[in-house]
Amino acid sequence: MVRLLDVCKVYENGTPALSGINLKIDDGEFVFLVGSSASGKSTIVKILTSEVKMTSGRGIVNGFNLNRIKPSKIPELRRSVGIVFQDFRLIDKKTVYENVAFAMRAVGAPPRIIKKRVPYVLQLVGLEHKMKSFPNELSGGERQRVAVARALVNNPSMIIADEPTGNLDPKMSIEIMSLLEKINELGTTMLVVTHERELVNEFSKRVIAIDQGRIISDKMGGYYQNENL
Amino acid sequence: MKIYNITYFLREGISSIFSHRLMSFAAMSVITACLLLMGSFSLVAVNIDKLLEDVENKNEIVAFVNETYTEEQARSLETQITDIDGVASASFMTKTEALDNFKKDFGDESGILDGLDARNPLRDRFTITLRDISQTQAVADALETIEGVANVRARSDITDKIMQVRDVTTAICTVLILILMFVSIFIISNTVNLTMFNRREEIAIMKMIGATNGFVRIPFIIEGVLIGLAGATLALGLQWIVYEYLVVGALSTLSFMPVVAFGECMSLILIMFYGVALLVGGLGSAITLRKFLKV
Repeated sequence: MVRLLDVCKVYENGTPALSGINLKIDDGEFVFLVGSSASGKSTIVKILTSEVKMTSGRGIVNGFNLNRIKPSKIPELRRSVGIVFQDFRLIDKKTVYENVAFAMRAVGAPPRIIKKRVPYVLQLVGLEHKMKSFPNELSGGERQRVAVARALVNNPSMIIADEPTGNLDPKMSIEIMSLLEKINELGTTMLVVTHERELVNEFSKRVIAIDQGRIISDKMGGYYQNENL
Repeated sequence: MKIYNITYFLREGISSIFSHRLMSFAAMSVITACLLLMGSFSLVAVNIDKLLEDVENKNEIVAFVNETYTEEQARSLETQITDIDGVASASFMTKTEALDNFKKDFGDESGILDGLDARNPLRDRFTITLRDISQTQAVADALETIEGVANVRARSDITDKIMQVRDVTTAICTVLILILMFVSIFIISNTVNLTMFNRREEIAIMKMIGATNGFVRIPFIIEGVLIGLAGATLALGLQWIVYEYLVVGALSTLSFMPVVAFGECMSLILIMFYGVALLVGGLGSAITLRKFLKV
């Protein structure tokens, strides 16, 4: 669950990134956040994960008050939100299994639970046969599926995918998006940040468009049509 | 902390050393080199100190006994002499023994002293060693007040010089070792910094998936401590080989140069090496990591 109320962000160097953002995402929703580069999409993700603080406004993510969250509570917030990055951000020195297991170890899960859960999640993303491979032995799509498995393994109530298909070909992109849709159907809230019009239009979902730090449209089953975005 | 977490941290720390073997090797080499430099300088300082101590010990005071005293009367002065504050020992030598020593100094030409046997001009004497050479003048003054002591020979001018040299060398050595220690810590923390920079992405990933600072930090600290310990052990081994086989071996041919055995300085070197290694390895990693944890 996400609530942002009149959120503004101006970076330390004076660059305005967001202005008057009001956003409400309920549990179980699938939302596309679309916009061109430098429109403010990434800043919203950073605010939701408490990577940066908002300059003004109020915000709540999964019950964590973003205005008052203590540094010691930030790891808990991030555990409630699985994050998938455009560049996968896997640890190259760890195998697929270790990359996913690592996220569980970080939350203090006992080894016997990790041993059961990691193969299950890897099976869910169709990579159970690549458990012992290293990231550089995988294709882009496979790497992103590992990243999705890692985001999913701690059973977060929401997944934020920041340009998850940015480094993938169209066929792979559809595959990854279908995987995210499948995960959403199992009850996980999904926020997908992207600027790929064809992909958004392929899935009939809620689309929030942002431009120059402002939300310009928010439509259920909407299309990403504006050529200028 | 749960047992499975401890084993995980240890395993992570150790495997990380091997998976980043080049950086680990670089960090360990820097620690070894810095410690070797500090160790070598400390050993030079210890040896200078030993040399000065030997010179000090050889700097004796001689108290000559009044020639009217019989040998027995002369010997009876020993208690009064050893009672003086600052006297470590006093050994008696009769005038006959003194003349024999005198002759020995002349070697083959001792014949010229033959005439002296019948009428020995030398006096019975006490050779006195001191606990601390700074008391030379005070002891000499006290000796002169003893009835039966005819004359006292004390080179307080030399002792003053030795003390000055010792004070200056101690000051220089302390300052240089401290400078070296700071330089070592600086170089080592830069190396640790470089290692962390190399792995900033990995640290950022850990933070973004919800790892606490402690969870990220502990394997790094374990890694730093282990690299530090390995560097210190290597430095200790190299220091021992270089010192015991090269320095002691070379200097043993010079009988006037007293050389301190490595075993005697072992505790100093051990404390210094492992202390610095643990400090910079563990604490260095923890402090340097802080800026990379701000994600």
